[in-house]
Amino acid sequence: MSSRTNFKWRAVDIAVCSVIGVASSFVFWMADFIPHDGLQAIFPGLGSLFDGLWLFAGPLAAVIIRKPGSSIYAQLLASLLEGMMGNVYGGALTLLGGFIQGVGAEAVFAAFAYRHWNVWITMLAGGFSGLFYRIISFLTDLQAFSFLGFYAISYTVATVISGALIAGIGAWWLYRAIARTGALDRFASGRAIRKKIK
Amino acid sequence: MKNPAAILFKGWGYKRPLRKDYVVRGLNLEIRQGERVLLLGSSGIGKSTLLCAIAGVLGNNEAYLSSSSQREDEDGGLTEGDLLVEGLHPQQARGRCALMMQDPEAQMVLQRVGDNVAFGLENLGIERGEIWRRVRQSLERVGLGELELSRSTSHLSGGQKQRVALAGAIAMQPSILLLDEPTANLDPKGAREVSRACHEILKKDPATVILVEHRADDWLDILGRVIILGRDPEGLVEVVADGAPDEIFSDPSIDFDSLGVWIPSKFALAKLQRKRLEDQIKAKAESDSDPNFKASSTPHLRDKGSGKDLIAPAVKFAKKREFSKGQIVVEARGLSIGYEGRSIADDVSFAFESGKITILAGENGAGKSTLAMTVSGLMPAVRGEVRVSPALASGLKGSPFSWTSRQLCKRIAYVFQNPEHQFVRNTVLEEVMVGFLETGSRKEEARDLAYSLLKRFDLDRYSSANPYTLSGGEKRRLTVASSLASSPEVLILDEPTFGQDRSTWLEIVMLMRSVADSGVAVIAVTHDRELIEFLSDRVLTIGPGEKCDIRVKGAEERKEKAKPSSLSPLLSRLNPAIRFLCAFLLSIPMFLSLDPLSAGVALVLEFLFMEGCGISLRRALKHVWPIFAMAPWTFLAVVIYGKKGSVTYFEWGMIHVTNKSLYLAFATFLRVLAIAVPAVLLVLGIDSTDLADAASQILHLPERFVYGGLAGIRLFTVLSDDWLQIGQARRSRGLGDRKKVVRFFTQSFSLLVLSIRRSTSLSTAMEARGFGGGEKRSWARISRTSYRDWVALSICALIPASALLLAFYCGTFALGGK
Repeated sequence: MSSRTNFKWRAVDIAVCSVIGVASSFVFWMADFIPHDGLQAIFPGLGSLFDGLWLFAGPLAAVIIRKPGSSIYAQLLASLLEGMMGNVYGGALTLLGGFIQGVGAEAVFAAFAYRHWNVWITMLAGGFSGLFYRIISFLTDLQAFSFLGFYAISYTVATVISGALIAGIGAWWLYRAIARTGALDRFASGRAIRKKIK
Repeated sequence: MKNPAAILFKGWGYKRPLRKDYVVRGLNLEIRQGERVLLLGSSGIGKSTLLCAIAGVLGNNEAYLSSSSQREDEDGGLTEGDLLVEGLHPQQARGRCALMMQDPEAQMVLQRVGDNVAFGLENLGIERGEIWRRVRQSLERVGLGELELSRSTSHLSGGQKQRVALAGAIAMQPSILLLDEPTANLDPKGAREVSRACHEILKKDPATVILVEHRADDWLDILGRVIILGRDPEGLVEVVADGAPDEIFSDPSIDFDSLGVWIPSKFALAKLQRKRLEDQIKAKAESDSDPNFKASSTPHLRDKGSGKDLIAPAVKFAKKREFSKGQIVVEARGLSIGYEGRSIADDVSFAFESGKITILAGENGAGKSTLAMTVSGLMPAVRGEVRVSPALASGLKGSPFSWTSRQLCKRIAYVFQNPEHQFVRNTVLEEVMVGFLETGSRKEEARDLAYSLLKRFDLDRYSSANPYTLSGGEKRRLTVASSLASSPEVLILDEPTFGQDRSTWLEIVMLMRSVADSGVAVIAVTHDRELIEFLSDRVLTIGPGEKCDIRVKGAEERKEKAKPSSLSPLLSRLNPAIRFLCAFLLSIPMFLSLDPLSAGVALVLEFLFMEGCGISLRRALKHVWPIFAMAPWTFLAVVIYGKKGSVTYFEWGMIHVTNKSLYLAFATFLRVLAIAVPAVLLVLGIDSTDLADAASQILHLPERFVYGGLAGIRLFTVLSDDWLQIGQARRSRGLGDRKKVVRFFTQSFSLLVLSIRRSTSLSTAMEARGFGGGEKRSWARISRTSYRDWVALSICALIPASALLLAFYCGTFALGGK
C-alpha cells in the first residue's frame, strides 16, 4: 500500500494500541469462562476452536497501527490485565502466554516488512500466533501428552484454525468495521478503507 | 519566568485527513508577547485546529520541519505556509505552550489527581522535589488546594476535573497558555469555578493567552484583544475583525449573527442581537402553524411505479396530534427517583403536556438526568410509578420502564448528551431508517420516509456519510431526526445545546420549537440560560435548594479510602514488579518436572507461604476456586488422551486409559494447582499506577509504552459508564429487544469504537503535556524495593527448588513429563 512507512510510534499509535489491548483483555477474560478443558475431554480440539478469542488482540492492533511491535504490545497488555483480573490460567503466567502469542503474530507481519496488509497475511498471523503458543504449551503445561500424538496434533490444528479464523479473518473484519466509522482516520490503515468507500 | 512569546502565522493552512477542503488556509496572524486574545468564530471554522497547531500537537512531527510548501503528515493531514512559536517550529517549542481542552474527561490521563498534574512535569524532565512543589502550588492556584493528591479523578465533578487540567497546564509554567472552550462542557457552577481560577492565574502570570469561548461575558475584564474568524467569499478562513473588545463589540458593521458570535451582554449591540433572535424564533413558531409547511419539504416523494403518495405517512406523525395540544401525556405524583434502589428525591410530582416545551434545570449532578431517564422508561423509579395518558399508552399497561424497547421507542424517545452514544448504523440514512423499521415499515418504505425526514432536517446531502464524521451540530440534528423516526409523542433531550456556537444553537432551538409545535411533548434537560429564556413553556427546577420545584437530598461527600493492593498486608508492601517476579519464580521452575510429589509438596508449601502472608486457606480458596473447578477437566483429558503406559484399563477409539495416563493426570492436576494458585494470589489487586512505575523504574521497560498503557487502563474505568449509556440509548431507539447475544455484540462494538475515539483525543491531551517527545522523562513517584522484596523473592525461589529437589532424591523427578 503506502510505500512510505514510518516505523516511529506516535502518541496516538501508543494510545490506540493500548486501548485495543485493554478492550481485548475483557474478551480474553470472558473467554476464560468457556469450559475449555471440559470440551477438550469430550473431543480433542473442540475446546481450542475458541482459542482465537485469546489471540486476536495482536493481529487487530497490528493491522490498525502498522508499526513494529504492535502485536506484541497489544497482546502483552491484554493478557497482563486478563491475568490481573484473576483467571484459571494462572494470573501472572498469562503474561508469558501473551508474549509468545504476540511474538507469533509479530513474526508474520515482520516477515512482510510491515508493508503488506491484507486478510491473508492477517490470517497467517492469527494462525502463527496460535501455533507458537501451542508448541510452547506442549513443552510446558501439557507435558502429559505426547508431543506428536493424536491429542497434541488435533489440539494444535484446532488452535491454528481458530487463530486464523477468529484472530485472522475476525480481526481483519473488525478493523474494517472500525475504520468505516471514521475512528481510524488518523491512521493510514483507516484512510485506506475510507478512501475506497468514497 | 521565561520571556513572553509571540505567535506568527504566515500563509498558514491545514487540511484534515480525507477532507476535500482545508480547515484553514492562507491565514496571516501575529500575536504579540503577553497579549490576552479571545478567538471567536463559528463552529468548524478551525479555532481548535489553530490552537492544536500552536501547541505542536497537530499531525506528525516531521511535517513542521520540512521546508516544502505542502507537507503531508502521518495523520494524513496537509500543512502549508509557516507557523512560528517564539521563533521556533511548534514542535520544537512544545513545553512552552500548554493547551487546555474542552472535554474534561479527555484530559484526565492518570487515575489520581496529583499524578495527573505531575504528568506534564515528568515529561519535561523536571526534578522530583520540584514536581511536587509545583503540583501543590498549581492545585492551590486553581482553588483545589484542599483536594487529596491521591483522590481518584473519576470521582470529581466536571468543574473540578477541568481545574485539575488547568493545574496540569500551569504547572508546566508555559509562556503561552491556550484555552479551548474551557467551560463549554460545564454547568454554570463549574464554569464559574473554572473562569474564576483562570482569572486568578492570569492576573499574576505574564503568559500570552489565547482563549476560545463562545460566550465572552465572564472573560472580558482580562482580555486585551478580540479576533473574529470568518470566511471570505471563496470560503477561505480570514480574520474578519481584530481589535480591543470595546471596539469590536460596539462596531455595528460587523455581522455577528452570521459569524456565529454571541455579543457579550454589557454592550448595547447585544440587546439588538437578542431581539433578532426572538423574532427568528417567533417567526419559526408561526411558520410551523402554517399547515403547508410540513408537506412542502417532501414534494419529490411519490412512488414512481404506483403513483402512490408517500408524503402522507412521512408526515403522519406530525399531523395526528394537532388536535390534542396541551394535554397531559406523562405525569407522576409522589414519585421517588434514584439509582440502585437508593432514592435521591422523594415526593416528586410533575406533568408534561403535548405540544409544550418543558425545561428541567439545575446544577450538574443534581438529578436532572435521573429524573429524565425515569420519565423516559430507561431507569426504574425507586418508589411510585410514572403514569402515562391512555392516548400515549394506547393499550399498554404499566409504567414506561415495563414496556419493551420497541413499544417504548414509538412513544418516548431520549436524545443523549453525547450523540456518539446513540449511533447504531454506518450511514446517516440507515441511522434514521432504524426508527421506521422498528415501528413496522418495510425496507423500501422506510428508506423513503427516512430520506424525507433527512431533507426536513437539512441532512439529506449526508445520507450516505458516516454519522461519526458529521460536525457537532449536525450530529445533534441527526440524533433528533432518528429519534423522531419512530414517531414518539414525548421527546426528551439531554443538554441539547452543550458547547454549540450561536448558529448551531439557533438551529437546535428552532428544531425543538417545530417538534413541539407538531404536538410532541418536548422535555429538555439543560442549564443553558438562553435556552430557558427563549424556549421554555415551563421550567422545572431540580436541586437541593428550598425554592426548587423538585428537591433532591444533599449529595453526600465521598470519602476516599486507599484501596488495599493485595489480600495480604504483607504482599501489598512489596514492589509490584517484584510480585510479578515472585509469581514467575514460584511457577515457572515447576515445568521442569511432571510428577505428583514435586507438585504436591510445592502446593502445600505455597499455601503455608500464603498463610504466613496473612491469607488464610479459606480466603485463598475464595479467590482461586475456579482453578479447582477447571483442574478436574484437565485431569480427565489427560486420563483419556495422555501418554500411554504398559497397562491399559480401558480403550475406545482414540481414548486409552492406562496406568501412565492416570499417573500423569494426577501429576498434572496437582501441578496445575501449584502453578496457577500462587500466580493468581500474588498479583491480585496490584494497583496499575504502581505497576507502571515499577515497570519503568525497576524493569526499565520503555516508558512511552508503559504510561501509554496506563492511560489506556484508566480510560476503561470511564467506559463502564459508556457501556450503560450505550445500552440505554439502544433501548430508547427500539433496539433493546434483540436477542441478548446480538445486543451484546453490537453494544461491544459501539463501545470499542467509542474507546478508540476517546483514546485518540486522549493522545492529543497527552502530547499537549509533552508526552512522546524525545526528552528524558523524570519520575514523580519512586518505585522502591526493600529487604522485604528480597526475602519474598528468596522464599519464592526456595519453594519450587526444595519441591523439585525432594522429587529428585525420591526418584519421582520426571524432566518434561518423560
